[in-house]
Amino acid sequence: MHRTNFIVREPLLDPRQRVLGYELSWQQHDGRIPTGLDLEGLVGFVAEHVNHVDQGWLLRDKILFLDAVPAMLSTDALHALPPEHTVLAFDIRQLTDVDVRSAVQAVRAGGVGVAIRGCDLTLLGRNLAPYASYVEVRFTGSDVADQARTYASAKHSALRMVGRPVGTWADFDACAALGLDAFVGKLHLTPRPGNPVKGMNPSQQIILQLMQMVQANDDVGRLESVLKRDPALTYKLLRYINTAGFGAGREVQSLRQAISLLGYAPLYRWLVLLLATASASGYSPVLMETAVVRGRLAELLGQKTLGRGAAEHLFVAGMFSLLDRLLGLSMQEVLDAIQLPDEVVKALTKREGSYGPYLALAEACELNSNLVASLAAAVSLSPADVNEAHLSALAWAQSVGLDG
Amino acid sequence: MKNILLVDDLGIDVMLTQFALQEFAFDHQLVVAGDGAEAYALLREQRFDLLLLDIKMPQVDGFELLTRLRAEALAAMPVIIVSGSGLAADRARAEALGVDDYVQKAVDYTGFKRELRAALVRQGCPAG
Repeated sequence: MHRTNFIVREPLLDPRQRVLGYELSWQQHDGRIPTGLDLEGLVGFVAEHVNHVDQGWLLRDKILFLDAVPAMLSTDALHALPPEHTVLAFDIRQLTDVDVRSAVQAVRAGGVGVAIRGCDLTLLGRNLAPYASYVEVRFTGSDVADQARTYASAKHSALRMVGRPVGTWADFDACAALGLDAFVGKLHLTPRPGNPVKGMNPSQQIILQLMQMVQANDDVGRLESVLKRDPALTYKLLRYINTAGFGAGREVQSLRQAISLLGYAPLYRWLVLLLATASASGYSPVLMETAVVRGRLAELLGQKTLGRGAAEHLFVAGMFSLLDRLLGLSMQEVLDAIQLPDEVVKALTKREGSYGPYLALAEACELNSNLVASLAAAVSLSPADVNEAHLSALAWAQSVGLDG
Repeated sequence: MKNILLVDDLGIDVMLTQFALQEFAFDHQLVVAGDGAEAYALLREQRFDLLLLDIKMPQVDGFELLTRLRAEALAAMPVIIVSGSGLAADRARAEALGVDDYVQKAVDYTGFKRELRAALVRQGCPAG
C-alpha cells in the first residue's frame, strides 16, 4: 500500500496543548476504505521507518495511533513497534469474537494500547477495561452538560478518552473542561485565538538581524557580537545544530566553529527554526511542530530532484509558510521584514515557481487531501518517496527537541 | 413495545447487543444490568418481555440467576442466553434450566446479529 497510497497524519493534543502523538492512516479517496492488508502494511511501513535498528524509537515520547483490524494482532510488524508508544484503534464491532478479544488482551498485557471506536457514550461507565486503554468519543459541541455527565462516568475507570473531531480551539477548551484526555482535529493549522501574539519579540528581532547578516555573508565576529546580546539564543541555536544532525561530525561549541565547518548557508535554516520557536507568548506547540515537520518534509521532497541547495530553500519555505500564524502577522508583513529569494517568495505567496509544488505537497500531507496524488505526480515523486520523506520529517522534528 | 432486560458485565457486549437491537429497528426499551444481583433486583420490581442473559459474570452468574428466578417464579418471560461460550456443557445446563434460546457470539458482528435476530424472531420479537 505504501507504494500506491499516501500516509495522512493528524496530531493528538493533550489538555495542555502539547502534542501527545500522531494518528497515522492511509488517505481515503473515492470512498475506498483500506482493507485489513492495507492496514497491516501501514504498521509494517511505519515500524520500518520510525523504529531504527540502532537508535530505537525515533519519535521520542510520542505515541502513534494506528487504524487496526484483528489480523494485525498477530502480525510480526506489530512486535517491531515499541508497545508503550503504540495504540491500535479498533471499531467496537470488530471485537465480537472471543478469540479476537483474547488476542487484544494479550497485546494489552504486552503494553500495547488499544483504543475502541464507535462506543455508545451512554454506556461508557460499563466495564471496558479488559479490552481498551482508550475510548474514542465523538464531540458534538452541543449538549455539553449532557456530555459532561456521560464522560464523568468513564472518568472513574482507567480509560482515557480521545475526543474527535475537535476542529476549533473553543471545542478544545470545551473538551478539556469535560475531562477528555486527548484531542484529534485540525488544530495543528490554527493559531490559538486570544493569545496576544503580534509581531516579533526582542529575541526574534535579533534572529532577524542575524538572518540578514548571514544572507549578506557578514563577518563572523559581527555575527557573534549580535548573538551575544541574548545568551539563551546562543545556547538554543547550538543545541539545535548539535541535536539535529548538522553534519559537522563533532559537537559544535560556538557560532564561529559552526560557520568555519559548514559555511553560512546551513546556518540560515537554523536561524529560521530559532525564529519560529523563539516566541514565548502565543506559544502553540502543535503549530510550531507542524511548521518544523512541513519545512523538513518540503526539504526532503525536493532533495532528490532539485539538489541540496534548493532543498535548503525549501526548508525555509516550509517553515515560513506557517511563520505568519506563529508570529501573528500577515504573510506580507513577514515578507516585508525578511528578504527571501524570489523562488521562496513565489512558493509562499502563490505556491508557484520551482519550489511551490513541493511546498503544496508537504502541506497536503497534513490533510486527507485528494490533491496529494496529483501534486506528487507533478514533481515525479512516488507514494513511497512521499511516505518515506513524511515519516523521516516527523522523526527529524522530534530530534530537534522543540519542547526542551 | 418490548421491554428488554440485558444482563452482561462487559461493556463491549452490552454495546454490541444494543447496536444490534437498534439496527433491528423494532419498538423496544433496553434496560441493562451489570451482573446477576443487579438483574435480580430489577426483576423483582419490573416486568420485562424478554431477558437477554450472559453466563459468565462476577458474583451472581447467569445460571445462578436463572436458577433463583425459576425457584421464585420470576422468569415468566422468554430467556435468551447470549454468550461467548460454545461449550456443550453450558448449552445442556441452559436447556435444563428451561432457556428458550441460545445465541453464541459469532466470529464477526454480522454473524452475531444474524443469530440474535433469528432468536428474537423465534421468541416473538418483530426484529426486522
